[in-house]
Amino acid sequence: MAAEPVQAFPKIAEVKPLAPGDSDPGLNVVQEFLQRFGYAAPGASQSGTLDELTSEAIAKFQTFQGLEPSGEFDESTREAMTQPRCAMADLRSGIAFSTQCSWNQSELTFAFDSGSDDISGEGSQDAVRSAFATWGAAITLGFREVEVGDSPDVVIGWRPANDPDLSMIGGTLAHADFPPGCSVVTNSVPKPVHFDDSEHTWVNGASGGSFDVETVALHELGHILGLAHSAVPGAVMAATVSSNFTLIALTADDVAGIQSLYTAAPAPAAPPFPGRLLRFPPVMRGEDVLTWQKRMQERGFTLAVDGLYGPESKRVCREFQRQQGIGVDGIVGPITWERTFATI
Amino acid sequence: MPEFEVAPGLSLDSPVELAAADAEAIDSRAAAWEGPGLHVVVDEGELADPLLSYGARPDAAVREETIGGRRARVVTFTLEGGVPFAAAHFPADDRRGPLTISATGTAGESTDVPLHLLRSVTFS
Repeated sequence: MAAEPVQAFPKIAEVKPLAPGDSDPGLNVVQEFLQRFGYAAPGASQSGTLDELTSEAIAKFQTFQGLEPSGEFDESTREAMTQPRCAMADLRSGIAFSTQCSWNQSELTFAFDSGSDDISGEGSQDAVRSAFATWGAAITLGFREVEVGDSPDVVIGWRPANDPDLSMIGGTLAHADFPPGCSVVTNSVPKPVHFDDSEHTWVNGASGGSFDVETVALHELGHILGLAHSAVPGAVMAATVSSNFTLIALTADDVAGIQSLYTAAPAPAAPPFPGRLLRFPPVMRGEDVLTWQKRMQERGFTLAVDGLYGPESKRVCREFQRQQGIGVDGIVGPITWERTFATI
Repeated sequence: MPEFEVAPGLSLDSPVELAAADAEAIDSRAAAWEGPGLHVVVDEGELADPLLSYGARPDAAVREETIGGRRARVVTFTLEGGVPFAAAHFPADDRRGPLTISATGTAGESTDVPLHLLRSVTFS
């Protein structure tokens, strides 16, 4: 873990067990602890009283610690709070860190030492560059390409399956590592992003029996940035992928995960409403449909990004409108368009 | 109810026949299985989802349970489109590394089926 550990909290050790509704001036330090580590919003609870909000925050802490989420300040909770710990918050806006560390710098440098034998020219490298840009659009951490001799933080390449730093024999497509401090491959930089170039066929785009470089690169760069796998189907950080498939936009879960580790990038300006209603039937086609579909995929919806507004797009539109509490008609008009591009 | 070995030394009971899905592990010991109305993913290793990120979902339930003799963090919620989702994360112990099993059921149904499937996990 990159962050410095902080001292245990001796004042918390002096607070007696408390049940919901109890008051004790000593509870202030417990409430400060819960705010500091992301379990409670600052100023929301009544100071010195184990009120409903404080009890909820304690229950979140207990769940995070694997304790029974009683919401009471009991002896086991007190003991857990007074253990030496990482100085980073556990939760931010209710979302837990996906791993326990991140890069402690404002820019990462990367370099390529090889490309895929399956793709001509700079095609495979360009796909990885595009994946960096996708993550870069979500957070303020910068990425800069350098030469491999310029001490990059990350080196990307295509390797035989029997890669000496981590074997990819037997079905895995690639490997990477977590940031320094929570590494699983090497504690030193450069960190590897290695693709198996002997057991699999690489391609840019969807093609039968082949794997899309950008899709897998987006996943591996998520690990480089500190994300573990996501159990949610359809997420970039899901553990498996199919051939003949692309996923090159972050889903809502991926964005939530990465923005719990790094400062969120300012939301891009929403594109203007295209001036026509997107509806089905008949099937509508166009760049405006493609733009809307890509954004809906980023918002976590499962749909094809093909520029065709058909029954699947209409279904997703209706689901989104229902979530947003606006009129449910399956038609992308000015209001639905504006909500689509609002901050996730 | 038929029992399926979904990873070496890891079995579960499924109400429907499961077959290997057309999916490849990206960078871990992961495997996907599917049957009518069910999709199961088993992910073993240091990259496995610790299931710490879902408490903020509107209908998420998070609990600690003992499954197959191991402690597990169990999460249930509903995905977009009304698809029920359940997952269990088993931290590393002295017998095997960290492991996450997730399952999705049929849209519109409750999380009971995927949750029951996870609770049937046994280790050998």
